[in-house]
Amino acid sequence: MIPQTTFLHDRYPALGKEPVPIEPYISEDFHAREKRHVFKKTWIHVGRIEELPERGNYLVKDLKCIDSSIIVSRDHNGELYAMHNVCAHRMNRIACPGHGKTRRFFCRFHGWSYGLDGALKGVPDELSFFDFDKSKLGLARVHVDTWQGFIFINVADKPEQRLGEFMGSMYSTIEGYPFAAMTNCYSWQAVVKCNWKLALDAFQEAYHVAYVHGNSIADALWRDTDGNLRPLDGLCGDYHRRLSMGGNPKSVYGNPNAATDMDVDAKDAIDMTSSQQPIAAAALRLGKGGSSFEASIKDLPEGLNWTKHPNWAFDINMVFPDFYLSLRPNYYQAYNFRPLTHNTFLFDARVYYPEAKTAGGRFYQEYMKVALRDVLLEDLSTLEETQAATETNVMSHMVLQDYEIMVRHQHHVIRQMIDRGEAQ
Amino acid sequence: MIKEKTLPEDFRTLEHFFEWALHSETERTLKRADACQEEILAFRDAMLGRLDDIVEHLDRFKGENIPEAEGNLYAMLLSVAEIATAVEFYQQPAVIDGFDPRRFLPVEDFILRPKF
Repeated sequence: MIPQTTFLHDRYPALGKEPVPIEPYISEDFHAREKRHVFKKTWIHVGRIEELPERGNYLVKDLKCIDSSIIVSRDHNGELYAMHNVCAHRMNRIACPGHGKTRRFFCRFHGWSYGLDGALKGVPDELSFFDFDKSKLGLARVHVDTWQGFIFINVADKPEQRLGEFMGSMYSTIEGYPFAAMTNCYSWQAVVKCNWKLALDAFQEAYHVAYVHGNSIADALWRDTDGNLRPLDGLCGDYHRRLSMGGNPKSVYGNPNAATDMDVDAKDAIDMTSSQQPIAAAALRLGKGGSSFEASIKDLPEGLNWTKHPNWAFDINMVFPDFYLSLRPNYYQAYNFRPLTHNTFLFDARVYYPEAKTAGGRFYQEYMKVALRDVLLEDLSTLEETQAATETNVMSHMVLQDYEIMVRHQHHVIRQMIDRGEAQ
Repeated sequence: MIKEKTLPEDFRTLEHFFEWALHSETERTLKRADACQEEILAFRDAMLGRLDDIVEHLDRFKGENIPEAEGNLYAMLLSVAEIATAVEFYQQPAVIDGFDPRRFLPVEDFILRPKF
């Protein structure tokens, strides 16, 4: 049974119910304060440990949200390090964005070299420098840690919380999800002319689904008895937020057991769709047993589907500030809404599946992944228009309904962090 | 590398649709974006009844050493997934009122992306 007798907002009185101002979505000044007091003060997701499988592997990310380029490396003892991508001599970049493997980082300007931990190792013509102490001149380190295999960095001198506390406050009950079994990752990127929060807002409510996704997945999501497409529940924390979403089990996209347990409903989904959506039905049918990891809802951590709703399909976890992590039994989505300027962002979207062990399993994955990509093209379709309309300043506030509480929560937490930072 | 226009013996009748034997998602996405719905439907019609045979045939070949003809057939199978939503969601090649797919292309060289 679904507890929908009260408003979600009543659980979180500190959030208020008033319209929310649009200034944070269009103001350059606000974005500067956001970078200073939010992005430069918190943990930021930069990838998975599977991206650095061997000693000497590294990745480089240009992160405008912290005005930095960051190297994350695995040294010869297997330890992770993160550092600024700036030579300690005359500030050249020492590594290009992307992935690589090396024993040392070399600066192409004057040949200074650094170990995988950022320690300065080699300086050509070292005797020409004055009072020179190599041990004091490494790359500038930043904090790095992992949670469930996700790598996070934090450029604050002294982070307010350890990563484990930061994540554990909201997500300890989903620890143990089989992230490490999902090693097939497909990803896409787009630079979008839209504020990063305005974009993220479009991913943290279900109100838009019946309209923006009316041609694709609207029928795959659960509706209440009045036909409303609402989340099953929502949780707001000090920083993070969560939504629980129901699915229509008689659909290929909305059945969480598809390609895994193949329950009665999944069989119905095949029968029902085979006449109108024969490719979707074939993908589901041929995908059966085609995955290297057979997920089952009953084996998932208790924090998923926390309402224990029988038609639960997936959770949306908004990891503060800009990391969307949506978990299903047999795959998960990981998106970053990375600010570039106050009104542009990089959409870095990834979806992770287990390895496919049959051609049918791979076909199912390709079907699901392409359908997801097309759904994302629907989500992205409104953003630039909405940003442009917001920038006209005709409206000063947004009016939000109960199930848009996550939009309000995002606004509230960021505002709070900026106020706290500026009071110090 | 230029791929020979070959398919496995039992699937030679599909050679008319060899233009869909595209080995990367980027190529498949652009092919769909540039195709007309009639081409997409003709490809769907040719492939739909053969999917079970294709999957069964491909499963005889494992891992990296898949022969070229089978590799081409595999790419055509994945092209069926590529066009699925054009036929079954949108009834047109592009996502209806969607963002331009050319601005949202796959990161083909991402280290965790499967080789096939």
